[in-house]
Amino acid sequence: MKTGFYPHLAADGIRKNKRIYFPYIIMCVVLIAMYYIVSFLQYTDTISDIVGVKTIRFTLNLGGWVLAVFSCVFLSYANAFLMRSRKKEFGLYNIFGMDKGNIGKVIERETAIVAVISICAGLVLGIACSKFAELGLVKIIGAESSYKLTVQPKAVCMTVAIYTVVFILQLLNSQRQINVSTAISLLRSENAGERPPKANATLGLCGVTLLALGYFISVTANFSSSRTLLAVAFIAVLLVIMGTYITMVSGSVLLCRILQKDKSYYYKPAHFVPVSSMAFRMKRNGAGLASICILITMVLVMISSTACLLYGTKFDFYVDNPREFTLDFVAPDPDTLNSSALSDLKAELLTVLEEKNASPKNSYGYRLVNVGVPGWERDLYFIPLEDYNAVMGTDFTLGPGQAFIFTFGNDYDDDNISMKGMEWEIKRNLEEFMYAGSRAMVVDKSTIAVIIPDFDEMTRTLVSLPEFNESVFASFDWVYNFDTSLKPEKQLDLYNDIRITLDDLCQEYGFVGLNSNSRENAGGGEFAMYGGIFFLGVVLSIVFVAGAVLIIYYKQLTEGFEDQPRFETMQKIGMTKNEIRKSINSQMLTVFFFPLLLAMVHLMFAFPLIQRLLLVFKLSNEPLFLRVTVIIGAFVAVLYVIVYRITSNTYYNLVSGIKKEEL
Amino acid sequence: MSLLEVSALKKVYSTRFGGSKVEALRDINFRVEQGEYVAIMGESGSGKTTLLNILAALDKPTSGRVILDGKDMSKIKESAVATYRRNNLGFVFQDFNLLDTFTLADNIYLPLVLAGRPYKEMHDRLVPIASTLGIQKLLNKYPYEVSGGEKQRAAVARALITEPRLILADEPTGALDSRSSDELLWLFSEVNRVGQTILMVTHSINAACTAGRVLFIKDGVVFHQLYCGSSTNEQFYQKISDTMVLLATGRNRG
Repeated sequence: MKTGFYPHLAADGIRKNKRIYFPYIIMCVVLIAMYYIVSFLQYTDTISDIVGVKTIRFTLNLGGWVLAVFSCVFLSYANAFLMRSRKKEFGLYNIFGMDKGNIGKVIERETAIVAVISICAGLVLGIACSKFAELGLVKIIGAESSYKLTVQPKAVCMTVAIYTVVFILQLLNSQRQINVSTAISLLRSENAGERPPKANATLGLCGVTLLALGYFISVTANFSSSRTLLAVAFIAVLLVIMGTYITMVSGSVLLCRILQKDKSYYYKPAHFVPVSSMAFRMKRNGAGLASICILITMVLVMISSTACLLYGTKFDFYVDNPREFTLDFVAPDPDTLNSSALSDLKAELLTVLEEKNASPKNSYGYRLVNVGVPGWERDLYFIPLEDYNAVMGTDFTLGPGQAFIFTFGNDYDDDNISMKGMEWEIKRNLEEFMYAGSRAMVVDKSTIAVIIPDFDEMTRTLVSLPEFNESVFASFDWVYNFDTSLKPEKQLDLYNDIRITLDDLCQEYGFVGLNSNSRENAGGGEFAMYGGIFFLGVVLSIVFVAGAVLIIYYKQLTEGFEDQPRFETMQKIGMTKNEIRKSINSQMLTVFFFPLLLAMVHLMFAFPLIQRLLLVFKLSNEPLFLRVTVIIGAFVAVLYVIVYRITSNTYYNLVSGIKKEEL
Repeated sequence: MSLLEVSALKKVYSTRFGGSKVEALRDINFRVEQGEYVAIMGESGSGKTTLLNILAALDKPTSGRVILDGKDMSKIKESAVATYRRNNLGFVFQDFNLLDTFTLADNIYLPLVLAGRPYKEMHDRLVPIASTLGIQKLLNKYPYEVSGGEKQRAAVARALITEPRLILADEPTGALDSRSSDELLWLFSEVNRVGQTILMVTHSINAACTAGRVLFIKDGVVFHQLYCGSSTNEQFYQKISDTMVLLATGRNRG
């Protein structure tokens, strides 16, 4: 045979099977692009400056391997489908005298062509998107990035190497499939008459019961111990997974059978064909659809909870470290805080910083009195109105004996707030509050910040109380937050450098001590890790959803081939094209949107449980969680609709393309 | 007036790029009267399938007319063709074409369901037909559970249930063993006896000699026709057989 023979045959094979090959190649391209992006981010210099870079790189590296394994699984599935649908073609080659070795060579060339196209296109797409991904990651973890497009040769090499291996594995898999089959079995299609599915009422009810039980646990379970809660959550998840499978496989057939019993419903043009073929379809596809449903649920839960983890932690981190540096000068008494010592200290501080080439930006300072009485339900923080106005840029006014309050969690509904004989009328609850700085304010939900106009007077009254320092305790602080123009590692140097200097400084001006903190020093490692996990969650979700969608597409395609003769018959008997279209639409809608719908229902019922679990992590940002869930849900739905349209068109063309010459 | 009138029917197939042209039907003329049972015979490639496709409104003729019940079929709008077919024609195919997702009863109901008839009416229509065809006990079975002959009887029931003007049968015995074939042909005669018009395309002389008239097609024209008349089954069989030999050997009309 001539040298050009095999490549020619291979190229032809791909072209003629483009309906099957095209989605396969797209899937490969997406996977490769995703892999490149993940590995690009591991090596990129942009993130080397940020805090917790090691953690992120580690997370991304791990994610890369997960992606590689999933690529293998998904592509094996798709490849198996590909080979199955081409067995007839290969059987024909076999009968025409090509032995299995020759067919193997054709497959080899085909795989090579697909591999080269996919890897090249995947890399191009990956490189094109890597910048967006980088900007996304950087935004998530809050570093800075340039807009220059770069290519990481190391990432390119890794991608090519990994996916070459993946494709070789696919090739071996295809050849194994050809080797185990004979010419006749290759030729024969598996169109033997299929048994009608039997509805199993017990099993169907069992599935629904399991689902209901899982939902019930999720909604009602409330344990204070996080370990019990996790165990219960695990049981609920198991119940729902089992319930989903049994319901999809058995419950749906049962439903079809019940519908068929209702003669006035069943014998309607719009229901007759869909209901009866759905019974068959669900029997064959129940498990697959259940898997898709669970996959989508996992994606939804994964993204929304990692997002909450990330943004919740990020929020806390920024509450604790509103600026790069936080200095908290502790005064021995209110007089020091309210005297000129404070402004002298501030001037001196600026000089010191100036000397270190770290002139403050975005700075703000305020006075603060934290009053705590053992046995009280809540801590009170008092802040002078003038400081609040200066920091927030507002010009609120208050009369004597009036106050604004700001609550950090729990509502405070009284009209007044009082402390040891002093009382303020609450003008209103503020909606905004300055980020405080960690050392100065240990906030929890019960804390209330009280902004008062008569700060001096209050502090003086406070210290003159007989119980002061006996059963009433207070600390008097001046908190100063600022940014610099320094790079992160320089910030850490500065922090170590000025700590001692400033400590001396504050003694000099009559303060008792300094609590200082720097954002760099505080680490933010865990929050960088959550960022990495969230980012990976998004990447993996895209891959999962793409995989799920590909599986549905192939399923529909297989069924299209099988349904072709049936619709042909129906058309001969007098079914109009319009009726065929309607019937297809109603079937497709069910097959497509049933899993999505069920996934949404799962998520809805999982919501209370996830919420409680997040509380274990001290994260309770309900609106955020809800918002993220809705956005992700909508995104998946949109993607779904697009694929639905493409698939239903392909399917329709497949089944309505009736050869008229044949009757 | 005849039930079906086919005049100067011509069908030319051209290859995709308009290259060579194949004349499948050259000039077909015949009539079928109400209540007749007509068989069409011919070699492979003689154009019988093309003819049947045109009669079934699955294909359009190049020229000529098909008039069913006084109505020109080529004048029917594309959108109304399926409905027209459903209401006026019944089909029996060689390979039964029963849908394996339906029970036999549901298969038989299919055309009526598509026409939007209420269940009661469908059921009332099915009962007598099922008893004529002897499939009452099989109605709740699925196609894979019954024999070929039983499948074909269900297919006949499906064709009959719409009370069509004309039944078109395409090699109805082609996939059956001889006993089932005989049973089916006997049923066709029975159905015809109570007034159903049947047009059957077949290869089988055995099948053709149950008909009242046999049309022979060769090279796209009606080459010859035979009436059963008063001849016995054996005589008619002999006549058809002789004509087939003539057709095959290609001599002129004898």
